Amino acid sequence: MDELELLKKRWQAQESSLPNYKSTEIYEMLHKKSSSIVKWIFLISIFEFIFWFVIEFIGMSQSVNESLKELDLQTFYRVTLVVNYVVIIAFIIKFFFNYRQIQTTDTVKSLMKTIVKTRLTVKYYVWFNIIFFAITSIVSVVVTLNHLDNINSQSFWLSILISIAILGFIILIIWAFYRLLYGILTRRLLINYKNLKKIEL
Amino acid sequence: MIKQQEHQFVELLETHQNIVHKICRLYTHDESSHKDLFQEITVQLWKAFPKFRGDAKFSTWMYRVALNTAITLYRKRKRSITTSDIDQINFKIASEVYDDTVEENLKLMYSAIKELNDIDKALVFLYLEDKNYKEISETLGITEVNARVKMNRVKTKLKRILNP
Repeated sequence: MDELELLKKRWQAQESSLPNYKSTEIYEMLHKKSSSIVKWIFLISIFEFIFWFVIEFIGMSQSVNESLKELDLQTFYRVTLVVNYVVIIAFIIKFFFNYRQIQTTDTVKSLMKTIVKTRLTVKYYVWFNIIFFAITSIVSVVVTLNHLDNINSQSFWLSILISIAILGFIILIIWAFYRLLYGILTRRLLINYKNLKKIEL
Repeated sequence: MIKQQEHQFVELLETHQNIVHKICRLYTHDESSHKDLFQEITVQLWKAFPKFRGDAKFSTWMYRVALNTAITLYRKRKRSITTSDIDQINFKIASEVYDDTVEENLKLMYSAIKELNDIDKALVFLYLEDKNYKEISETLGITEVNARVKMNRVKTKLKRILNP
């Protein structure tokens, strides 16, 4: 087959037209992929933390404060707030350590391990947020309903059912929000992980 | 220790980078994706570097890991290429003087090769690199007989494209 042989000849003569990267450029290319994803997870968690902090700050008006007082929920509110922030800060620190670890890792195996660890941290983080939100909301709803004096048992249970439905819907939205926010990044990590598995000959 | 290993790796890659560039040229359609794939292959080579024990030639090992990376990554990113792709970007092979028909046929064949499936493309790549069937089969992890059969099929396919 003449053409294929001719192409082979030309193919081998193309060396001079190929790009030539310097060692510094190659150094830059190393460590970039998974570490940049983990860095984004870390940064997004900080932005998210700031976002909720600001929302909390804006939402905490005088009237909200008064209704908390009225419902005897002030202590509960303060305790959950502290627990929430402490746990979230712990998660952010964990995300930071994952990022540090992935930057210094040097073998396929340890990189794969860090990827698994990061994905797991994100999963726990999302579940913590959802469960925490569910518990605090349920407690608030029950306490609020208990404070309503002129409510019969039928309307009490109806209100509980409606609240559960609304709560379920909100949790679904929060879950979707996290899937969108972190899902894209963790999926990319998973693809990287799978590729590493294949490449580890 | 790691720094020293990294230095050794970068030096080896710098010396043998043409292999990676040629793979990128075959598997991508423009300069930016060429660079992306080069970077991806670089990262994967580095991650797999501790597995390289020096009992094979660095270049042979590099063919294997780099082709695996290209195949894995570009499996889902197929798109049909147009002849303008080839005219503008990919047919930068050093020119000699040939008549128009031969030139046209080469372009046609190159475009046909770029549209082959990933494994066949890897096979043709190694063939163009003048590797024998033993080396091809070792690099791609298939038997020598299988490599020959596949290559003959590809040749027939290409022949049919050039002489419909």
